[in-house]
Amino acid sequence: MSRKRTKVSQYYVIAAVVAAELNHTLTYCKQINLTASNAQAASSRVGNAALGFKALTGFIDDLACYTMKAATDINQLANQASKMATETARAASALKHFEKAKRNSHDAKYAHTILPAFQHTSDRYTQLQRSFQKVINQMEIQLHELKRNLRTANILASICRIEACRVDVANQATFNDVANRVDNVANKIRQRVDNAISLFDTSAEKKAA
Amino acid sequence: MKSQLLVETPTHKWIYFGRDPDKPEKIIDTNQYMLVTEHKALLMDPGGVELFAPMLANIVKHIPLEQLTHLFASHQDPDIISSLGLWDQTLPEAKLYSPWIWEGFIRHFGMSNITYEALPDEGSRLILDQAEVQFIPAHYLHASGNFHVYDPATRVLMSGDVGAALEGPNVSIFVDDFESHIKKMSFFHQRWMPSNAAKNDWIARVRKLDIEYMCPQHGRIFKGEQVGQFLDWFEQLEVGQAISNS
Repeated sequence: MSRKRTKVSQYYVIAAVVAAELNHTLTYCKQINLTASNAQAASSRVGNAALGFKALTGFIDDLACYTMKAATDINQLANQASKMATETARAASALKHFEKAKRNSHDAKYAHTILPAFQHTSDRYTQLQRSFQKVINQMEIQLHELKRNLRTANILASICRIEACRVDVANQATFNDVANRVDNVANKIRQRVDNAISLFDTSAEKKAA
Repeated sequence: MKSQLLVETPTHKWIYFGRDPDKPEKIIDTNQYMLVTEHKALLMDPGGVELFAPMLANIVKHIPLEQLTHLFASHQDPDIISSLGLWDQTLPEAKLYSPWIWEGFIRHFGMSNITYEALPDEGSRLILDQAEVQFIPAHYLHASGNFHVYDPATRVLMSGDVGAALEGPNVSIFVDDFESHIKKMSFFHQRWMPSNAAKNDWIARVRKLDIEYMCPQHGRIFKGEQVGQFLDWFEQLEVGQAISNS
């Protein structure tokens, strides 16, 4: 996370794309929620043999809720970053114009009166850059954390398959289907999160190049 | 960019800015005007983003930046006020006078510090130290909310797009021959001005003002009898041409 960062202007795009990627994950989370509800209903129908499975549905539901919250939080950070990027770009643009005015006014009687505005904007720009970097770092940390937590989904799916073996053959397909759905949706979410993370990696590579 | 004193009284003066030789070729040339009093200054139609740096560099030739306390935007066009986001970071304490109907639009240029002073349709006045200017309604000339600035003491009318001409960037800032200037103004007024009724109403009101300098935002400044010549010419001109063309 401490590696050097790319230009703020590129983060306009990154923030927007991260927000879009995470928006997709929210839809997937709803699918997991639905899967967990269906699994719970199915395990109630089966009775005692599916008690272990029934307990798992709670975990599946929790995972979906966690993912949804994490995605929402990261989305908020992305929106915050996007707004900050706009402000930073505005300050950068003002500095560019101030520099030009300073160059062209060196012999002007009151040229020195530009300096306070220049200094104020310069300080603000530095401050905005720092705050912006903080949000971007936080966003990246949270994306990695979300990715780590998504591994739980695969574990849950595996346990679902084990639990499926405990019930009669007629109901095994239902429980295996739940396991497959959890795996499938978790993979989709992971893909979106990986896409978001890769944006940060790409921008760092560009900077290094 | 040229900047020159236009007129001066014991209490205040008008300064012209324009004809920027470094202006990107494809943007329309604009005139800016600044009224300077003892402690304050009003910058009228400050211009677009591209003009901000040359304007700033030229303003400090005349006044210290902190003396620039007031801005005026006759309407919402980008060549008038798209530099607002930059002025907002330069003059956070300034006030911007502009038609009330454009506030929500003009703020899109970026305005988080400057105060928006909404001008009512009927116009208003502004006192700067010993000087007093009037915001004269010029609605539909060409924008649907539009004002000009009249200074009775110096007899200057800053007339926005009225009197504008389209010509090269290196010409004189004053009209030399009115008759030959007409062809540089006709198309602009016929095509940009939408309403004959608004035009005639404005002419009737402006005829009652004592005007020595009529200062448009594009083209050249009219002096003395040229002002009357312009009003006569404008009165007989049919505007809103695009309707008949289409």
